[in-house]
Amino acid sequence: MNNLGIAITFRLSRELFVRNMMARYRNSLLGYLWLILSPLVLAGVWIFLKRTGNFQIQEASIPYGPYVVTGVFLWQGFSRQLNCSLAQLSASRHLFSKYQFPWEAIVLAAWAESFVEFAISMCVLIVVLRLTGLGSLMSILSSLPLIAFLLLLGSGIGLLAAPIGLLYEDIGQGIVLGMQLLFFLVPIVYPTPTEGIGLLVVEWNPVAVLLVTARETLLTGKVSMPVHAIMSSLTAVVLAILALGFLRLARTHIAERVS
Amino acid sequence: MTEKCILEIKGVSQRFSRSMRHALRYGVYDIFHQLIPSHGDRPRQLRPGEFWALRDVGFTLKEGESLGIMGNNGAGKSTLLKLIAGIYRPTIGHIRVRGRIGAIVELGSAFAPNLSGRENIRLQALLHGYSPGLLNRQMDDILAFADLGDFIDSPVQHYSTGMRARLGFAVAVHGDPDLLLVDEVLAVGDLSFQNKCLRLVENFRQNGGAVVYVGHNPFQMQASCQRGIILDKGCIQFDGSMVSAIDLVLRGAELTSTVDQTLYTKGQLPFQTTPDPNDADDRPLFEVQRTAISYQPPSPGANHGSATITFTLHAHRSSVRLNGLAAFFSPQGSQAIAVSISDVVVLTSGMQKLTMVVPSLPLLPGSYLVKLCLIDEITSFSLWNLGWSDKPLDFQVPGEAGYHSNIAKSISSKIFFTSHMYLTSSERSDEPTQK
Repeated sequence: MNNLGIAITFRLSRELFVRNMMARYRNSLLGYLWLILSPLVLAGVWIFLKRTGNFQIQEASIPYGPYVVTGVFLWQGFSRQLNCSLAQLSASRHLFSKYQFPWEAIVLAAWAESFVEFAISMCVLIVVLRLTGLGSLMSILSSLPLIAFLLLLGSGIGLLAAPIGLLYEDIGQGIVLGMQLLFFLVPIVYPTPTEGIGLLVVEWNPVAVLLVTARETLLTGKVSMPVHAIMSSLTAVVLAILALGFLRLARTHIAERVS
Repeated sequence: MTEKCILEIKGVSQRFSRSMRHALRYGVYDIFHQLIPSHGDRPRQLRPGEFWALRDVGFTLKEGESLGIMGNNGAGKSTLLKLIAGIYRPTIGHIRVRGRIGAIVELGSAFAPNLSGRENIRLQALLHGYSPGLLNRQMDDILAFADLGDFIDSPVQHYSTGMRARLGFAVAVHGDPDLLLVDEVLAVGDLSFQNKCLRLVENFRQNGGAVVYVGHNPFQMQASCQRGIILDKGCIQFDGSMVSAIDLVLRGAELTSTVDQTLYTKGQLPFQTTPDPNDADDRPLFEVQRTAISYQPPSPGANHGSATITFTLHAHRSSVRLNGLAAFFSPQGSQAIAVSISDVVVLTSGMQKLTMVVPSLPLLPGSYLVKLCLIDEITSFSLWNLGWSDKPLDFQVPGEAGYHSNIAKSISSKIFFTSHMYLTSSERSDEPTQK
């Protein structure tokens, strides 16, 4: 893609982004409030379970409430980023057989849209955390790159699956199932294991590494797994680039079949 | 100076799957095959469940040329256009386009209903590959061409189909393309809009642009294209002048149309006489033993040729007063396109030859079927007929295909009525030959 192609891609993604944001929540009364309600309810369920004693976990240095709420917010951001590529490409499939245009624009617009939604919900979360005395300006700023790589990892994985997902609906169903499983493989509602197979599963799972380190940095300002965090960030970048290339390659094959 | 070649297509074939199950499976296979080429796939062969949508298609198009692609539904026209536009990738062969492509495939299909016309112009323009600078430069021209007045700032969901088409076309053609692809989109919109579009495309062509049309409307195709290609089951069946292409298409349509079975059934003639079986004297007034029809080309100064129909008959009574009727039908037999009724002729007893002349036959070149009838002058009963309950006569009007005849041929509902026909009788002395 030459410079003009890149300029058109970014301009088109901006137009699509504006269009999507305007159309989003148009028929909703609560609108953007849903962005906060959904992770709050999920986190609330786990806090409730712990308070009732049905769910026994060790108390960590961070209070359980902020710990699980932050984890669920980050998880929701990752999850939304992972699902948005396939969802937006699928919604735009009527264009595929009529225009020769950079499909990357649809993907970038979808990523941007999910990112803005995540940013809004995180802003609310950070304000609440500050009011409860957790997180400092320094820790918030330090966590931003890790959060960005976590979201990029979600975008890359989602986009890598999207071309085949446009052909077979099984991919979309599989992602839903996989995400439910992954939710329990990542220490979101329980503390990070410090030994054994539990630690191994976290260390070799880039999603877990980035989520755990991002949350830890945000709440305490410390990073416990710096090497793993760097490796996982690199993985996120490589996956996203590969996924964009894969989409470009698969484009004509999909256009012939999905329109 | 030689004209620049804008489009070059060489040996292009495209295979598609008949079933969705195969299409999806092969889709995944093709994606991974392109990612990691292996020796397993043979693109020159069909896999189970596939067919060739296009087969070994090749042609070139120079600047200033306009090409019309015609063919039946499923012939591969739209597939070819999408391959040229780069939406599909050919299974075999290659396509080279020098310059920018403006593809008008389905007007306004990407409109965001909640955005205004002006906002949609920006979106459409980017989908058509406008650079941001070009869009700013062309915005005024697009607005002027679309001519939507105050509606331009209203949401597109309140637009009529015609207004959407105007907006879509305006954006598609102002993107400064070198090659314009137009796929049967001018069927929407009113006549003045269609004329406006055609004038704009013609202007574009005269300024060095190349145009590829896909369509069925012979009027528009003939008016817009000099060259025509007919696709049949994915192959190029004809590549030549548009006038000849349309003539071929119209002739093909005549040949493949279903023959009307009522041609060969009884009861289609409204004035049929029924002989009385109890009346011994109720035998036919005459017996026709032979009929023939011939065409005479126009005499100098005349516009139309003439037809001569001869009946060789044996009259059993004298002073029988008859009118002759000749009905010319289209080859499918569905419509009479010319009916001639003669003045009265009086038969004398014995063998004789009737000659019926249709002096001016305003028929286009082609094949026709002729039904004949001899009618009793007083009662209008059919005393004899040919073609209603048996096979009609075949009749050929020879001639070359032409611009005007193509237009006229595509209108099939005209019935020409020729009132002046001469019927004359001449007695025969020689022995009649058997029919």
